[in-house]
Amino acid sequence: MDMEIASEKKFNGKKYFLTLLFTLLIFGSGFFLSDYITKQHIADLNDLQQNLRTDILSLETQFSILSQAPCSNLNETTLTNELYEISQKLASVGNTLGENHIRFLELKKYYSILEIKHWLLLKKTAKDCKLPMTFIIYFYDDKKTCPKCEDQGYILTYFREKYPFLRIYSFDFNLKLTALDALKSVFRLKEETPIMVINNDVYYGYKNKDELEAILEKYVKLETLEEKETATTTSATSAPKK
Amino acid sequence: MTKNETMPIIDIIIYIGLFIALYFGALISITLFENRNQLYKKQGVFNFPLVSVLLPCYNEEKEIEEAVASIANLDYPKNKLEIIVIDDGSTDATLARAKILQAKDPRIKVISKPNGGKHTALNLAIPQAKGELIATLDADCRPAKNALKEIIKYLQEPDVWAVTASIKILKPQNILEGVQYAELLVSAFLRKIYSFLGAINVTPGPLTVFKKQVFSIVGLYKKAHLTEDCEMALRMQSKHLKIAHTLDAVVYTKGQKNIKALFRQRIRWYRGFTLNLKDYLPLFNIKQHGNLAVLLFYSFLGPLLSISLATVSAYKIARFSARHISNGWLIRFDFSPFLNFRHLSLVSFNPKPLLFLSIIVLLIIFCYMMLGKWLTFDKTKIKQNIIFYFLFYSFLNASWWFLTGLSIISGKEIKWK
Repeated sequence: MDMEIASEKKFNGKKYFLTLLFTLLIFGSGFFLSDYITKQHIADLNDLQQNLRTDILSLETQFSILSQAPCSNLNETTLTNELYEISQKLASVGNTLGENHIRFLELKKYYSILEIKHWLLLKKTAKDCKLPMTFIIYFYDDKKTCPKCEDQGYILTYFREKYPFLRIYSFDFNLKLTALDALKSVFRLKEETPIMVINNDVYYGYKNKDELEAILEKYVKLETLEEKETATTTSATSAPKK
Repeated sequence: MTKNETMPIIDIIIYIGLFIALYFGALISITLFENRNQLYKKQGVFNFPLVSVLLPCYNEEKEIEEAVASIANLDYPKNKLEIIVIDDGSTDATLARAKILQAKDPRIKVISKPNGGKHTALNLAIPQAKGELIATLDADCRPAKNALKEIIKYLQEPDVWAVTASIKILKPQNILEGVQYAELLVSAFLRKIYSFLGAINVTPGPLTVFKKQVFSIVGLYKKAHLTEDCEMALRMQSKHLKIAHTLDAVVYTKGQKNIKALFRQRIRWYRGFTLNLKDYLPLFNIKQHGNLAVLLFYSFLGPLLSISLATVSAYKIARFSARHISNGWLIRFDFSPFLNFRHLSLVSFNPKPLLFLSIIVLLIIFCYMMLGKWLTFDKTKIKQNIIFYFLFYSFLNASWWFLTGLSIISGKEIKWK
């Protein structure tokens, strides 16, 4: 006894096609939403970079106008935080677009220039306003050429969080940027990443947490400066005049 | 290979998997929308046919009294109910207890036979059953009082040959039972949608009611790789006998309390389902079986998807954990500097399409679960162990399918318990 095929069981091509359209719509909306947020990120990144450029320019102008450095009005933490925010946003854009995407590389170049400007300005500020800061310029390379660079980067992030007096600037050694070439030639750097330039001294090769802490001890008394820096950052606006 | 070369392949696998999962979700949603006014049978019961409830038992001395009581107390005319307890050669006191129950209630009939498996027990009872309708019930299951009445509403229709009930976990306590509870809510909802598509592929042991004529059309139960309930449904489908599902007839079953028992049960089910499908390959003919064929293709694709997505996810989770452990080692596990959250920012949120699509899929599953709860009038308070369903179910399901694959390849016979 064989029954007729029931109506609900019958293959309805139209319904399956409608389902396909519906699925494509949902699937496409996922991509659309992602693209929209990435574009927002890039727009935010452009705004942030513009803000930082304005703030750097503003501080540079203050230095130029005033015969003395404007240490009384100095609030470099805003500048530094802006720079960190840009770096995080840049990393996010890099994750989404891919590290070799042309738009990402453009943004990275611009960020590197801002980093150099930030470094130059802060070096001058630290000297003029006698701020207890130590500067690390860090050069990394891709994983293939420099397998230890990722680890070194993480250790430096840890140090940045642990010691607020540290100012760390990281650069892609192979980024094609004349400003960066100038920086490399100033310190006569060889292509042996990871490279760290601490104040004006060059250190080649991977340094673990203890080694790096020992090196930093040469420049600053870590324990005392850590406390002092905390006090400085909380009352940055009342820093002593030159 | 470098990270950049392997990632797109992994991403492609995930995107294909998500697309297929979303297509399935869309098909279910559209079918639900089409049938939104037919979720329940509104008409009453015109007449109450005699129902024979078959209760196959093997070493069920702890369950039998409660199981028989749950049938005897069903909201159904007392003189229209026959209860047949089949003792399948138990080595405990099942038979003795069944006989005591029989002495108290004339509606109860006890049959005893040497052990031969559930299908032999059912096959012995079916010809002896007086009812126009045959209900099969497992000894560890308890039907809700209204279950039979609700099922009868469907069987009044001439083209419906069997009706399955919505299965729930009886008083879910531990995490594992919570996972099974959530799983069965999803399953109750999906089975209803499958019934609209004419694609039910199992007439579960916990409670299914058949018109007795079914067995003369398709024959009695077979051993069927220890999943006789699945084989019976496939056999009925091959003869185009309609199987309906009811959301308002609920049967409670005891969940597997430990992981080993759960694995054993699922491997038996999945293995049986796969091997039975192999025996019913003509069901994959879309011209002949339409929606059923499509959904059976899906049930083959499902395990492959499940295994590949779970493997990729497990790989990603393992890589993420390994990176964090290795980072922790670099700083001698001194994470305290990061706890000041000085540079915490939401900007590092990485909005890949994968994230949105995965969230949509999880939301769809969550909706199925809530629909399963809502449509079956479940008042159980959702507990936190539901979270474990979302966290671990995909991995559990993938491992069941993986082990099922191994079990089939090895060709080794498995046992009930």
